[in-house]
Parts: sequence; structure tokens; C-alpha cells
Amino acid sequence: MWGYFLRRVLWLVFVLLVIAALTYVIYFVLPPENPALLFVGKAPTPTVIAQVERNLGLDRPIWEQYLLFVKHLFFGDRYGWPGLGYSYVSHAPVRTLLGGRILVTMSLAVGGVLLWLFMGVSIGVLSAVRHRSLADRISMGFALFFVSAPVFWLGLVFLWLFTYKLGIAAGTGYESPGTYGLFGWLNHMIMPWIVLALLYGAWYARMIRGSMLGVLGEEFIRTARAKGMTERRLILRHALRASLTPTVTMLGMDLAGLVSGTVIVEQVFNLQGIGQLAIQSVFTGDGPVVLAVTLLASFAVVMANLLVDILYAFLDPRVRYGGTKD
Amino acid sequence: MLVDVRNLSVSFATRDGTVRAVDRVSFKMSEGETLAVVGESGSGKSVMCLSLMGLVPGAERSGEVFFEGSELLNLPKKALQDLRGRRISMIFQDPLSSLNPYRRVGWQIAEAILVHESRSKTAIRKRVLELLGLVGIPQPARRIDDYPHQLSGGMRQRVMIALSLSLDPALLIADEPTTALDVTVQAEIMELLMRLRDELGMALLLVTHDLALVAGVADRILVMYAGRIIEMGDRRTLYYAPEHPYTWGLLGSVVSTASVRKQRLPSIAGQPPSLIHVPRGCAFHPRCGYVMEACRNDVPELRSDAGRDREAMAEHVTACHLSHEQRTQLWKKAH
Repeated sequence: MWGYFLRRVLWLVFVLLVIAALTYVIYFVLPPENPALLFVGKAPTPTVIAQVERNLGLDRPIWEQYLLFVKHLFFGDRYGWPGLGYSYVSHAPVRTLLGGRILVTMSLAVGGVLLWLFMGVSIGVLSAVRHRSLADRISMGFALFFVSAPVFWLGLVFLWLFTYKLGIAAGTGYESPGTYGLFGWLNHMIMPWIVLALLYGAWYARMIRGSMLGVLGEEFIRTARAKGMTERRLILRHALRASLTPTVTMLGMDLAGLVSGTVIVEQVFNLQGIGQLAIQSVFTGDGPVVLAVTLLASFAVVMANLLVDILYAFLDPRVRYGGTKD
Repeated sequence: MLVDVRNLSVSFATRDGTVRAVDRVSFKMSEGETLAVVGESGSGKSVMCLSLMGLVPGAERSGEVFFEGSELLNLPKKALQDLRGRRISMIFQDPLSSLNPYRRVGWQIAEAILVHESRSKTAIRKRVLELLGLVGIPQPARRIDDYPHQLSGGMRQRVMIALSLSLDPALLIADEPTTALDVTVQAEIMELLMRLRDELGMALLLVTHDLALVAGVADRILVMYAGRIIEMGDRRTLYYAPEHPYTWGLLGSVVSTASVRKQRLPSIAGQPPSLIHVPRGCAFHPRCGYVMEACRNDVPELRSDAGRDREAMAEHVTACHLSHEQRTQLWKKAH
């Protein structure tokens, strides 16, 4: 079991190194023109360009530059750890820029995940158990609706309805709990959370329903019933665990995507998260930030995969202990 | 009377028509008795057993099933759940898919107990180890924390038996318990079942397609065809003086060392009928070598005939239009 875990972690490090190499090639080696231009914003002066060139070590051989890049990445540079450089457009170390925004994105992500898991699992299970009933058909109808609804449309509709028309929800913007207190923070997060939860939860409800229906037809469920337990115990202690595997896979990928920033939700609700930063930095030509966000996203995906693999081993003993004895 | 089944019928509504899986089946079982239900695939034997415990969702049931005085078909859910696992237990054909692959076997056996009684952790663990020993699993303390996929087929079936007997039920229903196992393991499991039956005194309802299997095990045998009982009697009369052409066919197709010498394996011509379109009259008539006009139109009733063997331990009934004399003649001729 621990061997499995260790192998996965080593693999994680290896993949990160490869991604760092690829990203480096894209940003430093491939551009036909002076790579320093990527890092100086849109209207640089020759002095700034020269300084950036020196800072980036562009006068040194390529392999040395790459090693320096990796070294900064893993061991930090003069701005702290991890060494992501300096943004000439925003006049701040990249690290600082990311720092505050990560918090926003994480708030959005975690709150959204908790809410949609709760919704998705309960609706999915109930629909499967009351297969073909009216409740099942209505829930799946709603699920279909939310799976198809574009996120920007839903977000705007919510804003229009609850903030503008009914005035019961706070508007756009993010209020950090530190400055504005817990209530202010919650007030502003609740709508983005609900929008996310409705959209993602619908996928999960559908999937869990399908998975659970499959499991309920399995023979070990019949054995469990023959033991004389209540249906409730049957669902919670036997059927649910067996249905979770596809959910875990999906959750891993969704989490990775969320950490990289749900751009549209952040734009609609004006939350200064990673997603918004990524878009802005592309438009302003802010190289280091784009690079940093790419690395962050890759890291998130790899981590999410690792997490999913670990969860799998935890959920399914057949993964843990290998094949059958027959 | 432990079990009294009266006119049990089970059917399913499907797109292609109504499937009559069980058609007016009646039989009784006394305490400690072993009754074997024999038939081909599709004869309705499994559905019948599952229906006794209400484990067939979507089925239309009619008739009455009495168990220890209570009528089971109309029993409220809670009462039924109370009976299941505690007074009536069931083991199934494929122990790998019948056990929960995500839980340890010890936990699954413990659950069988915990669902009905609360006991301390130590008491439960002790009982589980005891049960594992009882079913002949070597080194129970090591096996108790294994997962089903870590055990061999025979051991998994032993685990199933352990969990079904954990609360000392009055009736154990075994639905083809050895079909999925190797022949040598089959014999071991059957021996185990018989030993436990003798030790614990429970009644055993054994469902199988294999007549040879039940030869030394059953007190009485019930033969099913197309959802109906076509013959029922004690094992002696059934093996030595069977009265139904279908039973003759079944006995003739038993593979034994004697039959190996013959060139072809005798089998019953034709296929089992569709349970949606059961043949008119006697369900077996399209395949019967002795078919008469009456067979095509009238469903034969289960009758016990005059002149039955005085030494028979139980009533012998047959559903066939041939007279008792005719059948005895035909059987004697073949032997």
C-alpha cells in the first residue's frame, strides 16, 4: 500500500519536471523573437528590455537558462518560494499576485464542491432508489436543464433575479473574511456557490443515479437484502460505496479544473481569482504570470490525479491487494 | 409444518407478454427436512425460492406461503426483514458476485448478526471466528480480515454459508450452491451442508439442476418444469420408481461412470418452453415420447396414485395423463 503511494509521488515529481520543461520550451525557446519581449508588457522601452534580458539570463546558453528556471521553480528566487519571477506589467512579484487570488479561487472551489457533492449525491441516490417515479423524472429533468445551461447565462440570470430584481443577494465582487468579516464573505460567495453547485451537481446527480442503478442490480445487493437489513442500511452501507468510483474520477478532474480557476464564474461575479488573472495576463502580454498560471494548472491536474488514485485504492480493495486467488 | 406453500404463482409483466415463472406450486416442509427442487434452467425453481423471501422485485405473486405460522406474501416489510437472515436464510449460486467486494468477509458475517441483534465487539468477533471454524475455513483468525477476492471459490461459499447460519435459522434455502464450483469442491461443500444440517437441525431447501447431487442428500424431491411441479416424492421412490416421463429423461441424462460406456449421452429432445407462451395442456407434451390427445389439451393435475409403495416415506404425486399402471410398465421395460 505504501509502495503504491510512494511510486505515485515519485511519478508526480517526474511529471512536474516534464511539464516545467515543456512550458519552458514554449515560452523561452520557441518564440522567434526575443523572449524578453514576452515578459515586458506591451510598451517597453529599450532599457527595460535590456534589464529584463539580463534578469532572465538570456545572455547565457539555453541549457543554463533552463536549469536556472528549474532551480528557481523548486528552490525559490529572490522573491520567495516558489520562484515564479517578476511581472513587469503589474510591477509585482508573481508570487504576490497569485497569493491573494488563490484564496479567492479556493473559497469558490471548496464551497462549490461541498455544495454540489451534497446535492448531487442525495439527488442521484434518491432518483436511483425511486427509479421511474415522478420525483425521479422531475429531478432528471432539472438535471438535464442545468447540464445544458451555459454558465455565464445562469450566473447573469441569478444576478439579475436575486440582486437586481429581488435585492436579496449581494452583488458581484469578493469580500475577504479578513477585511469584511465572515458574513460579508459568505454573502458574496453564496450565489457563485449556488451557480456552480447547480451546474456541476447536475452532472453528478445524473452520473450517480446511473452508477447506483447498476449497482442495485448486482448480486451482492441481493445477499444483503437476504440478511434482513433495512433498505436504508442497504443503500448507505453497500450500494453507495460501490457507486462512488466514477464519481471520484470525475471529482478529481473537476477539482483540478476549479483550482486552475473557473474563469467565467469569476468574470460574471467579479471575483479576483486565478481564472480572471489568467485571462488578464494573456491580454496584457504578461508572460511570467501566464507561465505561472500554466504551471499551477498542470500541478493541480497532476495532484488531482494522484488524489483520485489514492482514493481509488482506499475505496476498492481489489485495487489495493491485486487480483483473485482462483 | 414449517413451510406450507399453497398455490404460489409468480409472474412478470414484460414487453413481450406475461412471464409465468411459477404456476400454482404447492408443497410443504417439516422441520429439519431436506427438500430438493430439481429442474432445468428456466423451470422457475430459483424464482420460486426467491419469492418465498420476497427477493424478486417487480413480481406479481398470488397464493399463500406459510412459514412458522405467518403468511409471508402479505407480511409488512419490517416483519419480513426480521425473518430474513434470522429464521430463513439463503445462499446463492456464485459466491464471488454474491459477496460485497468492498468489505472484509469478517465484517460481512458480523453484519448478518448485527442486523438482528446487538452484541459487543468482542462477542461478535468470537462468534465470527466460531462460524468460520464451523464451516471449515482453516486459520480463521487470518481469514477474518480478508476481502472476498482474496479467497478461493470454495472458501467464499463457505463464508456465505457461515453468514447465512450465523443466527441459527430454521430454514436454509440453497440456490444451486455448488454450480459455480469445481467438482471436487462441490463434493466438499455438499458434505459441509449435510454436516451442518445434521448438527444444527435446520430444514434445507436445495435447488439444483443436478439430480445426482441430491441423491444422498434429500429426504424428498420436487421436480419442476415450466414453472409447475410435475412430480414430487421421497428420494427412494423417485430414484427407483419415478413416474413422470420428464423425470425419466432427467435420470437418463445423469452422467455416471456407467453412462460413459455408452456412445451418446441421452438427452431429452427439444428445448424448455418459453414461459410467456407455455404449451397448452401439459407443458411437457411437445417433448414427451408418450404424448396422447389428452396431453395436448388438459393440464394434468398432481395426483397420487393408488397402489403406492407402502414403504414410501412421503406421498408420491405426479402430474401426467398416463395411468399409474402404464407408467410403471414403461419404467420397468426400460430397466
